[in-house]
Amino acid sequence: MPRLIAHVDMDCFFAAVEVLDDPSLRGRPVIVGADPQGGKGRGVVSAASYEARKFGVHSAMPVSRAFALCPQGVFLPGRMGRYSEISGKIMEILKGFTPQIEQISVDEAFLDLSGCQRLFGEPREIARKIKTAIKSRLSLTASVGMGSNKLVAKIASDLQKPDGLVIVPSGEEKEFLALMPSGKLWGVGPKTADRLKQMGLETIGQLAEYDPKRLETVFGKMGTYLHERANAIDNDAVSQGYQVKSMGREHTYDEDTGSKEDIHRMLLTLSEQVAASLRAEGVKGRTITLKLRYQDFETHTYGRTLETAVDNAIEINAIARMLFDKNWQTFRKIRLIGVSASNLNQGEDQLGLFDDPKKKIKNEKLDKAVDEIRERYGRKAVKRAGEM
Amino acid sequence: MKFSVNQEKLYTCLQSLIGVVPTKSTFPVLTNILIEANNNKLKLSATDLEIAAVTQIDAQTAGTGSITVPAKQFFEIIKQLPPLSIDIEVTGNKVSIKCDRSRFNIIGLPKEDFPKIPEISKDKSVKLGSGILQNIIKKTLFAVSTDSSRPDLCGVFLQMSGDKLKVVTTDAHRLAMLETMIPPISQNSELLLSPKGLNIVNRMLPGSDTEITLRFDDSYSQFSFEDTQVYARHIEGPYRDYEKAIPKNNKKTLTANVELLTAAVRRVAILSDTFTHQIRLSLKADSVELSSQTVDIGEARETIAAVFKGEEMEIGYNASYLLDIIKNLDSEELVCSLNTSLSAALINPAKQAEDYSLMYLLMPIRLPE
Repeated sequence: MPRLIAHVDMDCFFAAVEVLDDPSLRGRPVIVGADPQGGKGRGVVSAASYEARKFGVHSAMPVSRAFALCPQGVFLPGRMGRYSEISGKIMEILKGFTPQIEQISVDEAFLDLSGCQRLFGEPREIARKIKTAIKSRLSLTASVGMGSNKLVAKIASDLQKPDGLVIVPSGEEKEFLALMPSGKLWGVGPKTADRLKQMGLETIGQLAEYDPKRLETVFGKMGTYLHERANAIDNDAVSQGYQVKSMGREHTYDEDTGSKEDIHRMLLTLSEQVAASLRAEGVKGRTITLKLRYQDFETHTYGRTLETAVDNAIEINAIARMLFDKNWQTFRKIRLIGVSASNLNQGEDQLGLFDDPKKKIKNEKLDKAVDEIRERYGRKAVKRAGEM
Repeated sequence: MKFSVNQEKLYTCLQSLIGVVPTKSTFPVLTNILIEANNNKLKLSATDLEIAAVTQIDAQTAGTGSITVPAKQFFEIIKQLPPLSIDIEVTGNKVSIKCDRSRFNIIGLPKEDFPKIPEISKDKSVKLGSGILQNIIKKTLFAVSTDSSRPDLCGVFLQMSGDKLKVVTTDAHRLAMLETMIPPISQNSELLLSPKGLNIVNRMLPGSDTEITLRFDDSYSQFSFEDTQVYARHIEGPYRDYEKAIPKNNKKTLTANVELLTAAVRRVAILSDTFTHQIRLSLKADSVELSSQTVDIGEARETIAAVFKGEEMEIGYNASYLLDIIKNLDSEELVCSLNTSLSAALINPAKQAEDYSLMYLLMPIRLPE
């Protein structure tokens, strides 16, 4: 019995949520990401609406380039708290179809629907029901791909975006993949794609016919993996218990900086953001990592594992600042700085002998209040004095 | 320099020294062991610059001399040799080892490269029995922090005043305190030692009861016994004001059988969260109900008889922390005094040992509302 796997992927999720919350943005090119600063901004785009994509803007593009392509775009800073709130609602809807859900990011998930046909009908009908449920309850559109494994479902969901619905019948998987570029396979990054191109393996079909032994000599274990996937073999289970592994924020400076004060201020801002997203997910992090990128793009990361998991900006900032002060080669200017929390776990609340429990509870209430204000009025509505 | 030494003697001695030698170091000589031969004695030294250990064994020596040898290889060679006499000859930096039909040549480094073993400048000292030192190590070291962002908590705090020695360790979640009598000391003193140093002392202590002299100045402590000295550089203080954490208003008391409670905690802990090890204790007048649960796995529940004086309450603990404490009580019953579910519990054995007294503090895990 072949499995029935669906991949549900929200369309331009961040941009769509912005439009949902501010209908005046409908039909306009919405670009979520770093501040473009009239084209001088140096961060990247995290999401672009379809209107913006028409101008050639896409995610991960430098925001300066996006601004050059689409100066009339509506550039927004992004509200992770809101996105993850909506994400939670989407996952709730999907859980109504099957408990076997694997959330792979804030806006996409795999569903194992094997054996659900009797309950919800034929694959196409189930896919329509999923799309309708999301559309009617949240006014957002999703693209759905279906097939006998995750690989095929994921590629299918991308084919007719937005509002897409593609079903790959069982037995036709190989054919379906054959003409797609090899870069579509999961795990093929730009470097592997280049190497495959050099070998004359531009399509998945060519890759599928290639000698698996030779692939293995070139790519090692990855070679075997690629050959299997190209032949549409993917026995990966839809695994539940989705766990975010880490949460981080980065900042690219408009101009490389050597100012300790500037960096300390930015570390506090980033720590605030990391803490807020930890709290929004209801998790705490035990490992805090600092990322430093120097002018020449040389990048270092430094981590520290604590005895107690934290979700508080002050504590995260203290560690990040300590790591920075200890490791910064002061004669080198900094291009990018980042703070992240990993080793995440839910709701650990070990109390400390030297903490003031009243102060701790007060701080938590304060964090909660600030989160709520920012949720409603935006991140800049409240700031710590240290960030000014 | 030439000497002969019994394999078993040398092996036992190296076994304890090897614990001091760092596995890698920016100074290659630190991964070596210093051997000095003089007057039918071998003196062996190892150091990682924080801890140093020096010990002497009997040997037949011909001439005096010294050499440092790579600790790991030297230790492995001696370990694998049969229990016979080993002949070692040093010519320049070349060390040849002969035993039965085995021959080894290894390259050493001169003694001059090896760091000087510290000298204790001012002589303040106190004498301790090996039994009490072993208890200190066993019953307090587990609570030392490993979080290097709080360096003071990574140490073992020794406080000597008059005829009392107090040893305190804490990782900010739990605290262990052991008090014992010492011969009166002229000047009250405080030391902050690394647990590594104390563990080395523990490894090197002889099986029988021995008197240990602890000498110290501002920078180093030295433990000496029989033919062995262990030096430990002090961790920079000050130590946290731990007394502030000791509750004064814990009016509710729980008296429970240690064995029953230990077994129940072990069982219930099986289904506690693998990260927090959180278990819940419901304290009632004549019983304690322990429970745990892990989403998607299951839940556990067990009730034991106990006496609880005070208003009924629920409190959460990290089961491993609780076990660390109760398995060290050496008493049939424990007395635990409490205040609220957000404040520290004070845990004592109902009957203290003759030559020392123990006290533990444990902070709860906040239970979801």
